[in-house]
Amino acid sequence: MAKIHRIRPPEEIPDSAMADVAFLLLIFFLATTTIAEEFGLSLILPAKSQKNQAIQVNRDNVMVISTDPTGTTYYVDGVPTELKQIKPLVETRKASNDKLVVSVEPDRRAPYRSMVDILDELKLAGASRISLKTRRQ
Amino acid sequence: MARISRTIGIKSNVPTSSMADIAFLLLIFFMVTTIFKMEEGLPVTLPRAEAGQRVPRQKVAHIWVMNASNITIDDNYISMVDIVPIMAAKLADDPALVVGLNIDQAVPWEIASEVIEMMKEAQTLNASFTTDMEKKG
Repeated sequence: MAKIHRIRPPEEIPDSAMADVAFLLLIFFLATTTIAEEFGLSLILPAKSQKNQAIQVNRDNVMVISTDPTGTTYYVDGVPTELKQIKPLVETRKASNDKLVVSVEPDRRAPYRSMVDILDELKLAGASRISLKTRRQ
Repeated sequence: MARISRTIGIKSNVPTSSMADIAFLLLIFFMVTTIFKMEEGLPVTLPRAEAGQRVPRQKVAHIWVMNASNITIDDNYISMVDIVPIMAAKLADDPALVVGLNIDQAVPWEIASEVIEMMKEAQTLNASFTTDMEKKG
């Protein structure tokens, strides 16, 4: 009688689930990783100059935006103006005068937020010549 | 003599063992390339702006200002005048340095403008007023 050989299946460790585990970990890290992004209003500051090196600008080309001490009222050339009105005003002035310099002069007691609000409106209006009045000027 | 007929069916399966290698490689890649935020900073409330632009974090040195007595750079509490030597040293290391001003929105402009003056003194003129990207309410 012929001898029957039993064919044994090859023994191996099941590793197909390993990929699932690895992909689960990968998806977990991809989903939970938050890329810290930073946004800002950029401005190139003027170099510290001596008093006699100050740039002279024609008064007609200057638009002054200031605030009251609480930072709630904005003034464009001394006229009380709503924050949202600053952008169209700057756009109009800029269209008629390409040398326009916008001087931001918040009250020294006004919150920093009011300066950023003005700067934001100026950036939205596309103003490129911005002067920032600081304490020691 | 009894006839033994046996057909051995060979299972066809897709090799998935290398799948785990790929997944782990991707996992390791993301783990290695992830940069954790090392600087703690101060719990400031940033002003909101719509025109804020993305700032490359690699080139940014942050100044955190919560009020006149709470100013930090690299998580070290400093006084106003210390900004000049620290920023000057940072500028010497990286001439393309951008200074990210993380100033609390309620800080009086007087203090914020003094920080700006210190930056001018240190010749770090590339400023970015860090803002929150959310829409204004």
